[in-house]
Amino acid sequence: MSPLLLAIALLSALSIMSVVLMLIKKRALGDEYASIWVLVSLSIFGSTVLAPQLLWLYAWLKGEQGAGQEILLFGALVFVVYFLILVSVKLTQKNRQITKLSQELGLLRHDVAECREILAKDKSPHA
Amino acid sequence: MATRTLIMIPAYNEASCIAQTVEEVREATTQLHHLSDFSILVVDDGSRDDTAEVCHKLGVEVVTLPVNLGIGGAVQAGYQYAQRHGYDHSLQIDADGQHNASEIPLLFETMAKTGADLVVGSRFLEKTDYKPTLARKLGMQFSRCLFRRSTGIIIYDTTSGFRLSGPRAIAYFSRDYPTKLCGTQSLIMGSRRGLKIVEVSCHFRRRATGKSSIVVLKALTYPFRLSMATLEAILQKDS
Repeated sequence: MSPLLLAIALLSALSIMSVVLMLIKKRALGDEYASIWVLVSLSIFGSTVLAPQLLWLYAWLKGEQGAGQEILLFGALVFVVYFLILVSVKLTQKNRQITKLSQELGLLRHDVAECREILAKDKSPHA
Repeated sequence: MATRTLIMIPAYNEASCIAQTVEEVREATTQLHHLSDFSILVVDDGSRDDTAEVCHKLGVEVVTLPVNLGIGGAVQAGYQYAQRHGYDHSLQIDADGQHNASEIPLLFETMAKTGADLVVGSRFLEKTDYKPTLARKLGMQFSRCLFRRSTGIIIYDTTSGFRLSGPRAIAYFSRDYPTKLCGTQSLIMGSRRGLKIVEVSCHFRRRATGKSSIVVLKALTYPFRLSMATLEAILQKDS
């Protein structure tokens, strides 16, 4: 792996990890997605730092491919990762909205049933 | 003036045992008027069986969630109900009959004695006849260790669903409650936001019917999921 590509890979791995941690801190990433992204960022970082030869991208690009193409493909991979993180953030947001709406709906339905009961009692001839 | 306590029972597909639990709680609380005025609320977490119908027949209050949110979402709905209706305490008890309703006074006594915001009924604080499986034992050990590391306090039974919450805990959890691994994570979140949490030894029974939510895959991934939940609870600020 060329030093330039290694530096880019390291920077990308670190930035993915910090973005994931920042999103967890800001509650933008739900439990289920946070676990996946922490694992992904750790494995990218681990494979870049500890065993660059394990990077599938490196193995695939090894040979006649030039450094320019390597960087381009790595950039595409990072873009895909960031895009998927964005999808996770959106899904988290929707999950939270569904949870809130469901709780609100459950509580309101209960209140409506209670009001109906009171009204029915008031209307009944024995009231 | 007597305080008001909401006994909340989160339930998902518990039609076979909810009646027995509700009756047991009713019977236990009729003798506890000196402690508080008790109301029972079943939070039906989108059950596909007759849980809600059984509860309606029993004459208890039921909040039916339109979809299954998981235990965290159901418990938070219970806290929201308690907060909106001005309850002073909220007592969470499992629908499967594992918890002994006759031990409710123990939780109140401990809260009064210690001034705690949250009292947890514990299976492991003292030696009881409760025998957990090896996987559960290991999970509990790990959870206890992580809890101590992240909060500095020792709670032996972090996953217990037998809990008494005071006004501060109700106010906090009605706003912010975790959806996954809510037992341990809620304690970490509460503790890190200044809630005083104490534990009291209780006797739990094995569930008679229904299915536990703990399955093999969940048990295997538990350490990782719990570590993540702890990381989240540490990193996140109040919402």
